[in-house]
Amino acid sequence: MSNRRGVGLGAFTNKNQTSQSYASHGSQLKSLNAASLQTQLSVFQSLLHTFALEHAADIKSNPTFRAEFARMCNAIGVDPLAASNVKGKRTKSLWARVLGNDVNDFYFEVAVRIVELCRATRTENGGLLGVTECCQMVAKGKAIGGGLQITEDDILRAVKSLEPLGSGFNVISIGSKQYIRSIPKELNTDQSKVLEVLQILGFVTIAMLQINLQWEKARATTVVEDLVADSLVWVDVQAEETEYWSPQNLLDDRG
Amino acid sequence: MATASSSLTTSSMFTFPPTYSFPPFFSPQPNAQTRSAQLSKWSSLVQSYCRHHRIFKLLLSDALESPLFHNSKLMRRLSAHDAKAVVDYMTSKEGGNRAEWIGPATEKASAWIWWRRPEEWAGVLEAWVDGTGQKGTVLTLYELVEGEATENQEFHGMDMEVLRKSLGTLVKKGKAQVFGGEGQEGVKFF
Amino acid sequence: MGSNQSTPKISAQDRAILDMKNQRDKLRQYQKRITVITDREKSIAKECLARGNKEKALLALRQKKYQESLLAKTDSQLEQLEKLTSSVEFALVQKDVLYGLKQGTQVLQQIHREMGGLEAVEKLMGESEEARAYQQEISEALAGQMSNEDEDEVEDELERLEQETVVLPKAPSQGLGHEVVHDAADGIVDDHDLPDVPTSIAGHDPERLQKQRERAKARKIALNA
Repeated sequence: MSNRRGVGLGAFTNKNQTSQSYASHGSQLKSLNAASLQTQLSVFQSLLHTFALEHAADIKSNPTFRAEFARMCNAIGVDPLAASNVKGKRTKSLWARVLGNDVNDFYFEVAVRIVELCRATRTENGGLLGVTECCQMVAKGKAIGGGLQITEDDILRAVKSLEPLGSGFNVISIGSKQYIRSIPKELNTDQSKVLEVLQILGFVTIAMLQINLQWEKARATTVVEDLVADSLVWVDVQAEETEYWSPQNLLDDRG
Repeated sequence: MATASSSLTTSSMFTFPPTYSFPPFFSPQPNAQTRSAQLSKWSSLVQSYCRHHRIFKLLLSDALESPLFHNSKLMRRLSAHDAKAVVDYMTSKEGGNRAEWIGPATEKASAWIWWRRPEEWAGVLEAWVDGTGQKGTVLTLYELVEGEATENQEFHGMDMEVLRKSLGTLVKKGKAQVFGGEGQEGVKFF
Repeated sequence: MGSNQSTPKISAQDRAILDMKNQRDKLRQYQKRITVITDREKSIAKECLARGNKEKALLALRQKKYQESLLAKTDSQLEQLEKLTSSVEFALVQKDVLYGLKQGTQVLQQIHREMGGLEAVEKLMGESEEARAYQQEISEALAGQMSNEDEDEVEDELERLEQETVVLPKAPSQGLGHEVVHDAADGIVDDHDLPDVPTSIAGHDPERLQKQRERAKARKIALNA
């Protein structure tokens, strides 16, 4: 009983004991929690698995549903396409493991089409393909296979899945628009600026650049010539002043 | 109906591809890559336009004034020089051998547009003759392209010259024989 | 198609058909032209009426009528021509079919000849049939399945053989009264008792039957003893 008073030497021993018991109690709680958390997670995983299998068809065909599902996964902190190409080992992505191969294949299919489209349009757009235009073309189904109902969201995800391949495909933003870049060339600020302007107006002239951006003629000419050299713009010589157009609306019926 | 000449009247509406409304399309592109993409698009346009209007022979002078090479709404047109370049591209292997200049190379006034090559036409003809059980019977060239029996066939109204060329490919393969007097030829498929 | 030529040729008949078809085409083209004219005349008549020129309208209509009669004539001509063309084509097809039949028959005949003809075929059949029957008989005999009749025949043969070796005619003590020793096989017949002995072959003749009966009786007695 005298131990409890906690004064004097006895107090030190007490303290040790108490902290020790606290510590052990704490770790007990921790492991209990961890165990229950583990159980919860595995339960959740199997539920997710069942859910995905049941709705696999929907996920594949309905873009809105798919987007919601993907958002759900992301909210939990799960990246569906991660670990899909870890040094070519057997480790599959979460999608593949939990949901079966269908959904995984789906995004790869989209990615393949994107690559194909970029390759086909490279000569006319210099390697920059607008995400919106890409989405339209995939929907039309002019690439391999038939048309696919997808959203721009799916496209972004699919391009992201190509990253680990070191394919040189990535998404860049210019102005308010997003593009898939398939050519490694970096754009300098001036060039990006002009592309931004092109987004809004569809075309530019050297005079327009001078007036609107307060550039000297030489500077404007250089930028424009660079863009032509990179096949990023088309030239119209039949206008009063030479016009430089963005090729983004050239994505018509192919094949 | 005179089908030997290039009748560029719009019988039914031809829907131009979006490229047609892109002003730079009518200007020769300085960038080589862009240029090749442009030529390829022009080739497709010329072919589908001719296919729609059943044009087998393109007379450049007429074509330059037609909607094919002149977009009046956009006020853009293909120059004679550029139009020749397009056809040149189409005659090349790179362009898929889809055209053939008529007459001496110095003139370049008119050309065959092979939206279907003679060999391809030969295939179509052969298929029809086989399908109608007419192998081994004698048919006049006239009835092949003008007869009632072929009215809903793709080769109906085909230019006689083109017909002769495509039958020629079959004759070389020994699959048909053309005979008879000038202007009254007949053909027998084997 | 019945033609055994490797290099296809254009026959005279083909040329004839081409001629006919060219005529047909010409008629059709003519008809097309006439139709264009009649249509024009009709629209002219309409116009003239609208302008109040009744005379001219009437003239146009008369023209149209005339052209239409021409059209009717060419129609019947066309019909005839087409009939002729089809019958020629059909005759050609028939010719081919006939040719094919002829070829086929020839081939069949050749095969028959090589097989040695009908008789040879039959003979072959017969020989094999005989051989088979013989085989069967042997096997039956060996299996001890000889019927009474066979026994009789065998014994018959034995007797004949005996007759060949023994010169003396058999004494009547062998059998009962009206026994007639006769043998058709080797022709030795002792038939002094009867006027004409049928030189019949072993078959269903009454003497033979009787002999069989007697022998059967003898056997029975032997068995019972």
